[in-house]
Amino acid sequence: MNNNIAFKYLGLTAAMFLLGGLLAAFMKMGAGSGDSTSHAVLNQMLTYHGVVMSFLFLIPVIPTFFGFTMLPKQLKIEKMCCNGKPGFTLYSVGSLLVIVSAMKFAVSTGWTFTPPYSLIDGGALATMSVGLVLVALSWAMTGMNFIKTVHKSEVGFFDMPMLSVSLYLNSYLMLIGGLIFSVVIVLLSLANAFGIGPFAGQFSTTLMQNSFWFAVTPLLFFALIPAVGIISDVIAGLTNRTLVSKKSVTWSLAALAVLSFASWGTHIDQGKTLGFVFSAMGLLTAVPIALITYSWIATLSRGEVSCQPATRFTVAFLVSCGIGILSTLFTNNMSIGSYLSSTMFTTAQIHYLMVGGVVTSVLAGLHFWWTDITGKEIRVSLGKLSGFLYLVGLNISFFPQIIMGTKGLPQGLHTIPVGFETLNWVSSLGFIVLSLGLLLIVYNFITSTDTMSSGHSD
Amino acid sequence: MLNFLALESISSWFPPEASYQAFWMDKAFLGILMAAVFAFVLVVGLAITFVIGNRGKVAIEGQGVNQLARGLWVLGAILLYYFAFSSNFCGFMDTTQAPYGAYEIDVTASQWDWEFTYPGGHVTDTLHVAIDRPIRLNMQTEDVVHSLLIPALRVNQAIIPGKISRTWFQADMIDTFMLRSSKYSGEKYADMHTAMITHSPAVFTEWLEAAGDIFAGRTLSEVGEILYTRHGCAACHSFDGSKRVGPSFLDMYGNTFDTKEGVAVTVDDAYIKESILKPNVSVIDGFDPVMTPYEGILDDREIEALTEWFKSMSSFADQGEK
Repeated sequence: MNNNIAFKYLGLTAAMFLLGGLLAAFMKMGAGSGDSTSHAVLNQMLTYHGVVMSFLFLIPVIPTFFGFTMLPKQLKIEKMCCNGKPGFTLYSVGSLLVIVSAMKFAVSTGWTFTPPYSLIDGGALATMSVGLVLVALSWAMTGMNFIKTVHKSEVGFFDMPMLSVSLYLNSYLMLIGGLIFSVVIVLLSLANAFGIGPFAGQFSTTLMQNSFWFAVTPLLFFALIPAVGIISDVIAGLTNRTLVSKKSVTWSLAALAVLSFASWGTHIDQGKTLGFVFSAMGLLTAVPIALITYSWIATLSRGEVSCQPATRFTVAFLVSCGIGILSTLFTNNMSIGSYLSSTMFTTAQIHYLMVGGVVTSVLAGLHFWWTDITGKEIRVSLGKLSGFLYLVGLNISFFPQIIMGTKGLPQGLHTIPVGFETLNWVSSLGFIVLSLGLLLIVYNFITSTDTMSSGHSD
Repeated sequence: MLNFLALESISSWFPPEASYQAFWMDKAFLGILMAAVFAFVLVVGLAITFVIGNRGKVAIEGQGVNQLARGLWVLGAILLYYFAFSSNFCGFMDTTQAPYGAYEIDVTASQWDWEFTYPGGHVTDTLHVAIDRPIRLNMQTEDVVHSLLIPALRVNQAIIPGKISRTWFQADMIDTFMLRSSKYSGEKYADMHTAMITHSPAVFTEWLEAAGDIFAGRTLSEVGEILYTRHGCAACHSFDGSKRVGPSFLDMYGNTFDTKEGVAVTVDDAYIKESILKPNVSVIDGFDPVMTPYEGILDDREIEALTEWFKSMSSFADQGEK
């Protein structure tokens, strides 16, 4: 029952990931081959890559699949508070509308919709907005569902496994962030269509950016909270013990959830003083991050670590999410951060955090719990191989972008300037390896076989 | 360690350092990079060591936490973050306020062009600056959000509609550098790039004198039209016959008007010169004596140019010349 809706969600989020990935592939080919595709089309692709990946894939992917499958298991209850069907309907109709808007007249505002440019763009922003509002409401409903489910169960906050804790905390972010996000999108499309509302006019940039990032920062960047939940439980499972100092990890996640609503300003240019305030606030994340990594390392140090595909993906998470988190040290520095803002460095950063963090944690969780959830078994050696390809591909794909950024290449150019050809070529090669790894992973899951007869084996 | 990190190869991650600000920023970047690499090797190294080393070992029971180790770990993280945050803080403060007497250049960004206006009023589409002196850019956008990125100077300043965004630098290398927008602004955003050309102070002065000479290669009448725009005459005077605060320039030259005192005057070279330099002496009836005198602002040659331009759009031109 719960699994049914979870797999529907998994299918749809995977389809969105595929769509976003294909757009990225087309962009890379278009950019590599010179002027064959016009700038306008490439700008539209870039916009839809961002919108689809952020709002239709990254934000819902962990809560919808792992929430509906693992939450009842971990809380030892029969079923969720609500069956999640209305939320799924909203999400599918919303996603469809976003795709329809691309067919009507593709939007090219960029996925952050920064005005005044987003107000003069001629695309079908209204259609896309309706779609995004429906999707945002589905986040809010999912969040509500999880909060009620956790409250109804008998398990206390500190007794829940980490995944449940993180999903519970993330539910508040989805509920609050989702509602604010839908208001922001409605106001934006009003300003775009009729020129009314607080975002209308040429001077609305700062207000709109503040509102947008206030909603999106907790939803998107702090989608790493459930990712940390997955990895914590996977590490505990791989070592077959409870997490060392679990309480401190629980507190850390709660602290990060609170901080998520105070860190929107790091994405906006709004003067030196506020820049200083938000950068100083970024320092506060040091403590929870240190406590979480300490707990993981201590847990790994104390026992037998079973070697399976999920182990590879856990290491892949530590490597790539680690690079992503460490890259924020540079952007949080005020002089370096202002130079690197909206360069390829920030592109690499968001991909290390979102692909290296969120996607890798999803893959680690899927590999670890697949047999539990479906009763089917994957090929272990193929899982390990694909994990290796995935990690290598991811880094070859995104590390060159860090260097492109420090060399001063801005985001979103479709012609590769002189001096960046090699880096771009290496990055494209990495993209191919990454895609190959992902294909093998999907193939492994699809062809996983029943284990009813053979029982559990390692 | 330093040799292992191959400082030369990491410095190839950066464009040339064309200012002392760039030099200090690169130093800070390198420092944070070394600290980050250390943290990365520590965390990931430990994890991989345990994942591989603990294969087949029996689990150690017990939930105890090594408080000292955890405390040091957290302290280390705080120090790492604080180090990264505070590196080059002086460099950051230095960029917030241009030194007194900086050479000011106005920058106008629009979809998808750059325009640079020098103190004398000369306008270019590439940025020319002298080295070894502070340059302040006062930047405005005519439409959407843009950002001025000059990688060699490590300058990247967003330009928000309705605000004047400022930045300053002091270049110390003579060359041609990339200058472009780093904020997505629509279809031809990728083409919104030009160059910054640095000169020695002497060469810059020569360049500005030559390039800033608006008479070179133009007819007097064309120069007059440029002066009309540059000195803001349009605020009060049209050249299409419509009435603003002051009389229109269309069909003005050679025409005859009554002054407030009832004296008939014919607009000729002498009257124009007087009206520009001492504008409120004889005012045409129907207008108030409110114009700013341009004595010391426009020289004889420029007034001559304006006069030629007025002639070119007057059907009474030959009457004034009599």
